[in-house]
Amino acid sequence: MAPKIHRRRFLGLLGAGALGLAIDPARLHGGTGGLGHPPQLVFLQLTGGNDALNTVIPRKDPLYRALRKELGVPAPTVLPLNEDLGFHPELAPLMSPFEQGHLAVLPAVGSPRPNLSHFRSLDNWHAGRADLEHPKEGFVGKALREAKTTHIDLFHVGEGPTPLMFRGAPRPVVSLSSLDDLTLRTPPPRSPKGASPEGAGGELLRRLEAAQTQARAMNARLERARKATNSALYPSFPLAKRLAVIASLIATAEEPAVYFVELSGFDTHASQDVAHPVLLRSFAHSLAGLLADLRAKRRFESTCVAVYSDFGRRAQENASRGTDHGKAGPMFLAGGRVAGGVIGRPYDLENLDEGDLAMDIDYRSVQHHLMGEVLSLKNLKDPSERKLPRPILG
Amino acid sequence: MTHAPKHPLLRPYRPGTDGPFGPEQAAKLLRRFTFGAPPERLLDVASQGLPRTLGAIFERPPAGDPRWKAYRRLLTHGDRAARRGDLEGMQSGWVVRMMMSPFPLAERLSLFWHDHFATAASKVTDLPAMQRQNRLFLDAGLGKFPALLGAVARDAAMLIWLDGVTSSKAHPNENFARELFELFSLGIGHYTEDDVKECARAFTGWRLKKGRFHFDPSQHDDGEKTVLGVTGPLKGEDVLEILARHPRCARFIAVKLWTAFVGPIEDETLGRELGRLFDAVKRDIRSFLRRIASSRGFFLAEPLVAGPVEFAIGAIRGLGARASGSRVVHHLKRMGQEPFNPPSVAGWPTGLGWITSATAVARENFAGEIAQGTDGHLNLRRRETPVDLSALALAMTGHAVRDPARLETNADIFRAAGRFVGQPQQWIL
Repeated sequence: MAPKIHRRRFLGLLGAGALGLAIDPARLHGGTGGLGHPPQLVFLQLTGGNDALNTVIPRKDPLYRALRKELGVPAPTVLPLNEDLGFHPELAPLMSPFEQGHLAVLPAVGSPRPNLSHFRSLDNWHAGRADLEHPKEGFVGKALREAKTTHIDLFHVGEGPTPLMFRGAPRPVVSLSSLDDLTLRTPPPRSPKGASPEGAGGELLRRLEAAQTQARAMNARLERARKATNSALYPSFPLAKRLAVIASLIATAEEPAVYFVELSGFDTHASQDVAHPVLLRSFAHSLAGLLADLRAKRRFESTCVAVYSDFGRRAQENASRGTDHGKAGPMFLAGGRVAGGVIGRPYDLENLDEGDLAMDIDYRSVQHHLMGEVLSLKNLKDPSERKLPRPILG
Repeated sequence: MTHAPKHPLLRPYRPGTDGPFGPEQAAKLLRRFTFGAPPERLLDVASQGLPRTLGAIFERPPAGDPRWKAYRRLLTHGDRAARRGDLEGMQSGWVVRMMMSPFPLAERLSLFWHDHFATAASKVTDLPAMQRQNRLFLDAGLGKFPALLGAVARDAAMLIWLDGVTSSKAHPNENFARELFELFSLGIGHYTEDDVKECARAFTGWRLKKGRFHFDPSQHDDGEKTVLGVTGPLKGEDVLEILARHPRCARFIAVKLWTAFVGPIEDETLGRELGRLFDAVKRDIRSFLRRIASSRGFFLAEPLVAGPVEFAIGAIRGLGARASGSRVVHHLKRMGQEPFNPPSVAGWPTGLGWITSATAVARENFAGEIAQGTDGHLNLRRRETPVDLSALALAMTGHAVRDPARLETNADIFRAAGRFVGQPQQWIL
């Protein structure tokens, strides 16, 4: 299970300061076994609603052929996972982690009360709820608050607003797209002489100042993270660049951490035959790069990557060679301690839920296991209605 | 306009009785509705009282105003950039328009509607269509909302963005229909999944021909449909007509405008009253904004986080300066708001959502370049007139400082401005 002694505490025992180290942390943790590293959990969101049936393919089901006359992936090109299911050919880079037992595939994860709006569906996913309007708290934030944990770092690697899943956490979220993003290049003059504007601001101003302080503090760690970057293991996709940033942060992590990163563009209402394979290629090569880098950095065992999407898509293709919003869809879990294989039942195309794949596993059950098994958080409640049939770690 | 709102926050603000009207109140109005104004203009407007300040914000300067000539040239620059496929040229063209517009309220609204009807060049790729959409927001963004909505539904960039162009009689595409209700007019919870499906049928046949809107009757489903309780062989126009009269639509848009320019709404009755007020002014956007700008609620409102465009353009207008448009775009991307590329159809973040570690650093880096003035990448230009530090603080941050210093040279002025811009006080409106 989770390591009992984290690096900072261990260094404390050695008498070394938390910063300004003379000791290479990689050496301290060298080899397998011995001292563990703090657990690292990466959420990779395929934004827009990834099409389940063309990602994890029911390769022998004639109903699939009937539903996907234009978009169906030819059977001989599908990469078999088991008797029923196979990967889209663009997911080839993920076959070796799957075969080595480090990648779990959950075909039909969803909500018991699905919502076909992107925003509502993702809000619910992030809130760890099934039916909440305007959620104020994310499932990660809530779990950390309830477990009374403050020894954790939260990173949003990407642009745009801070993901809802972190909201409510007792720690601020650090956002960046590249390590350079947090580099103060041309700092403005500070501490103006007697020239601080008067007037309101109150709580809002305090929060803005806290964000500013947090950003400045990150600069020091970035220097170390930059040295740990190994871009040679990654393809040139933008997602891969972000995953390389995450790997550098993982390599320099002193605390458990949760990361959020996304790949957008999965809202394939039209011309999915062109767009979707490109997206899958970018996803699979980037993720495979991250897994290889984590092995090289000896952080494969301490890291778990969880991949999910807004929802799956309508089983029946539309006339624009696309698919419309649907319900259940696949999740992937990858990492050194993940017990790989297919988790859950294969699709049931004979019993669709209003034309969509029906939920086999409630996403809240997966979230619950990630919080409990990977981060070892205590006092968690599992609100899910269809639970995971087995633990996710081996 | 006989409608007298009952809600106390919607009553007209009476200077003297409800509170003062001075430079800080004028600064609040100008910073929220017009991207701010340089110190001398701010003090001049403030000394003329509230009604004339409102006039300066809401009335378009006469066509003979010499500033229009340079501004119109910028519009043509943007059109030309679009035709040669130069997205950066379009972006910087718009940014410079916002810096220089003689009627900045219209540009502020073009930004608001770009966020509301968020359409991204990354998918549309037809840049002249994106530029035409931008012109639509500029030209119709202060008019009547139903007319604006109708024009957006026929807009080429929107038809590409939400897949209207691939929707057909046999297979209606639901993307536009869903966002029309969810994001553009009603909000979630005020329509059903069936409404979305039937609405998608009503909009079949709305296509493009040579890049322009075109109704193709052979692709239109003229069967009977029920949308929002109305049944008949509905066309797209009919759905738009239903929305034009729908009370929830008035309320949804009124609340969104209030939230953007005044602040968050906790109170149900205020939402309802705002919807009624919007109807009372015949859903005319400019009249509605003028009413809320002169309301007690506006002057009592808490601070708002300035979005990156408001922040950056506000800093440059507050200085009475001009800057390199492409360099401002460079900074806007790092601060999280790339013009013509909102992150999704739901638009950009709001409030504290704008402030992350990376965007906080980006704001400081922008401030650093403001301090470098003419020598920095922003290449700031400004007529060299002295300014009081206190007045500069007022223009930049909305609040005066006690320091009586007078800044004589542009170098000193830019340095002082950079200091203000790097402080979170300048990040709020």
